[in-house]
Amino acid sequence: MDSRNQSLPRFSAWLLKRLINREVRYSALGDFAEIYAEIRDNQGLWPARIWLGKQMLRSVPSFLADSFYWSGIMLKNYFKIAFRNLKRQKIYSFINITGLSLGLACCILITLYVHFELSYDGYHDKADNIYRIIEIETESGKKQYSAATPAPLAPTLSEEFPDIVQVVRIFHPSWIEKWKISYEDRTFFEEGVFFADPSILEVFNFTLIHGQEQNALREPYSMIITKEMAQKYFGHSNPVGKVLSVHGVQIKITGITQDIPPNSHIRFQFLVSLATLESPGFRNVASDMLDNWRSHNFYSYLLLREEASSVELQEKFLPFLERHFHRRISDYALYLQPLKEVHLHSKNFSYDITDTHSDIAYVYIFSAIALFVLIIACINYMNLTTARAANRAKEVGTRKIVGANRAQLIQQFLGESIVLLLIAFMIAFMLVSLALPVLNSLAGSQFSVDSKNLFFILGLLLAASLILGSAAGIYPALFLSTFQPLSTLRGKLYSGVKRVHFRKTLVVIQFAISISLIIATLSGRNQLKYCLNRNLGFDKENVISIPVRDVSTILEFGSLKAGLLQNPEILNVARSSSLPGKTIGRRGFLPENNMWAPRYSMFVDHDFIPTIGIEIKEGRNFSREFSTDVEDAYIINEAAAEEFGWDSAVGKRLFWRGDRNKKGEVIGVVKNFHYKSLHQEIEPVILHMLPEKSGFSYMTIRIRTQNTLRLLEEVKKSWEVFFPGVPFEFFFMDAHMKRLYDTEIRLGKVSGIFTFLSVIIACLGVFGLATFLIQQRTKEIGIRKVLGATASSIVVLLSKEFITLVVISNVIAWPVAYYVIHRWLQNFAYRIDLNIGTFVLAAFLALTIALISVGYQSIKASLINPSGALRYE
Amino acid sequence: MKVLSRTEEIVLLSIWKLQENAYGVTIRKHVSKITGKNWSIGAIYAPLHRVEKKGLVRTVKSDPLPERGGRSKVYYEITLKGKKALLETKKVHDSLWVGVSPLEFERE
Repeated sequence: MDSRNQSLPRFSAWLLKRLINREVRYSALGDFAEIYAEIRDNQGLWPARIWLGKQMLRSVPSFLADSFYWSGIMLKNYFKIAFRNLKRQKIYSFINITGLSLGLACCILITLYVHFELSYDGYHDKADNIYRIIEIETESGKKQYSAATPAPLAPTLSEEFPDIVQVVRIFHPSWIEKWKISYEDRTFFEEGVFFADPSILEVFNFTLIHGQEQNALREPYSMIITKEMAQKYFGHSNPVGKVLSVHGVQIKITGITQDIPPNSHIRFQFLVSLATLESPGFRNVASDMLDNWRSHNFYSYLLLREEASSVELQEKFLPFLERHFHRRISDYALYLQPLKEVHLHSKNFSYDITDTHSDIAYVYIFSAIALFVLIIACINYMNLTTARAANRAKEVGTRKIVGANRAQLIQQFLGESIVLLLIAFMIAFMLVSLALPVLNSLAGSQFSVDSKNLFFILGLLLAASLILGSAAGIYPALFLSTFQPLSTLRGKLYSGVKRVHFRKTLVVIQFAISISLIIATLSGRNQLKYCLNRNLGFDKENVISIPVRDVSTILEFGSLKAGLLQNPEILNVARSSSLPGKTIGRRGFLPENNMWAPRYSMFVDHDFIPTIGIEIKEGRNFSREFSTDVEDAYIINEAAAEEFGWDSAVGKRLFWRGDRNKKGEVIGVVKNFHYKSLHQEIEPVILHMLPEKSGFSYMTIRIRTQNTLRLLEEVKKSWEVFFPGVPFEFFFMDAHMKRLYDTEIRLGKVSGIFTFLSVIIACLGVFGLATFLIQQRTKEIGIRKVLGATASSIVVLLSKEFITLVVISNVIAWPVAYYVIHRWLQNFAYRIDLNIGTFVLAAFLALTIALISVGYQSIKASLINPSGALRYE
Repeated sequence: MKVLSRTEEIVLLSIWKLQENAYGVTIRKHVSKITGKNWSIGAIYAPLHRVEKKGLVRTVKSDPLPERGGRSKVYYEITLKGKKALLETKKVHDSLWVGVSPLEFERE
């Protein structure tokens, strides 16, 4: 018989060769051929082929399992070695895993934050086609953005431009912070009362749990409340159809919505139909604003057709604006802001719907920090792993000699990195769950790990670990696998100084990043301190303010004031329409020899200026002796005098609403005071008098007392005598001014934490490098000691190198930090000068940290017994 | 000494039974006959490979044969270690059965 005829069909043979493990291939292939030949000879070619096909199909799983089983043995060996190494090198494993898990945890936390910030308002189905109208006013070359628009604007636009499908107007007056809401005998002051067109339910995804969407907000005196509020007022019963009193007006509940998700910038608790505003009960709130083109108090949202371009549309608005506004139109424009940009791109918009907008800059800053921390952690890992190479060199040599090829070694070391990363991953996950509540309270945010994003986070972490594991592992793997078996076994390891340079570069980068972060954090802190301690032009200490929300308070103010002043610890009581740090309205004024323009103005009474302690620079305060003061006296600040070009302002004419017929006169000039946060320049402000029985928003009390708590108790008692049933609320002026910097305070805390972490991680890096360098120089140290070097001289010798590295890091870090901080400080109109001291302090800190990390290793090295170090040569 | 797994025991005993004639084809035939199940070639080689790696059997090659496509038959022989393993396993079996009350199917 021809032997070729006996063999298997070529394709089957080829396939089997690939499938069967090398060690049994020969024998198994023989079996296949023998049985195949037997069947073919006895039964014919086709039965043989069918048998072969079937047999192959049935055998494949077993052959594959067999192959995997034996390669699994090798993998098992790799894992065993990996864990053995982890256990044996406890300090290194600890450093490595700590560094990596901290890095990963930081990164994940920041990713969560960034993800949350970017997700704002994205959950509305039509989010991509919803725009908010922003007014741009150009005033002496400076653009002013404002979110508030006149009520008729949006509907009129939609009549004239077919691209606009629907409009939603929202009314949420910032001058009423809290609304009095009562049901039966329960009364609360609530924030989050919004008025809106019925279309809000169609344009946005505020879905109703109870009630009908079409009719919920059509009628006047109807409103929707959130589930949270429904529970607060009605417990578990269905409140649809019940009636709540809002600001004294009876309003029927027509629907309940889900609670507003934390990533929505429109955050209502009570959504009243806009038609309700026309009712007599709200006249004093909305005084006929609904058809007034000059009253900018509504937030307008437009839903555009899908194909429409907002940019093209807003250009078409120009002729429209000319027709409807009685202003010089070149100074005025409308901008359509995409809904998804509202949260992060509304910096410096005045009269905004909420004051909790964030800033895209923070998203960038934190992303950068996350990336930095991660890079540092990776660098560390690479450094430590390669530094440990000496311990692994013999293993690599032996493996190579018994036949491991380079690919296998790379696989092994990569695998080890990934094992380590997975451990770090688990720890990081625990850290994240532990740190989230802390971070949330620090950052004032509300993101959390829940079932909705759990997989997102896990996936993110896992992906990050794997990518990191490969990224950080690839260099050590390549490095370790290049060892020449002979030289490693002989004890020679390192070729040249190149690798040391690479390692040092990594440490320099690490330190540069940490130093930049330290400088940034310190400077941020200084600016914050400056903001909190700057002389604001008035005395914010010992001032209590009571927001006034109830009509009865206004009528009884005189009696209450008289009562309070009986108390010798109460120095003064004043009324005003606004306060520093609160929203200040702008009203149209025409100064003598100047132009008509809207300017900041405040209604105050006689006692306001002395109460909050503003200094009068020129002229006099409002006085009871001049009865005309109420009608036509004005006090302006220095900035106003300067802008109006008045050298001596007293006696100059000033008209409100451009009404020249009124006799208006400046009676005094006050020194500039900060009525806004230090982010903003002090602009002209005009104070005028509050008529005796008219409404006001704040009652401000100056106190001088040893015991503030007792005094507050007394004030509260008098309050309750005059206004039984009206909750007593108050705030301290200094605390209130501090709240203006909430964002910065939070940013400071959070970046402080991350800076601290990055420094720790960088320390670990230095520690690793020190170990490596010192290990290399063991013999050198031994010889030095033999020749008479003292321990301290060796510590100095070893530390010197690190001092050089830290100095180089500083040289890199300073300009970078300077640039970044300088940019950040531009957010403030009043800011600190960057202080060289901060930089030096950061450098000093970095140096100390580096020396401490090196110290342990170098002292240990300096104490070695020279004979031990030299013995094996 | 570890107790052998069931398939390893079956394969080893078959080799022992077949004595001089134990190679892939015959082992597979024998095992299939004893167990009443048609074993695939792959299913035989997985345990064979394992017992060989463990040193319980060794292989001896015959001269190349045309009916095997020019390949040798690879005969399997039990080593001393293999025999010990078999005995050990048998002992475990036996002691397992000692004192067990007779298994009878109860009619219900």
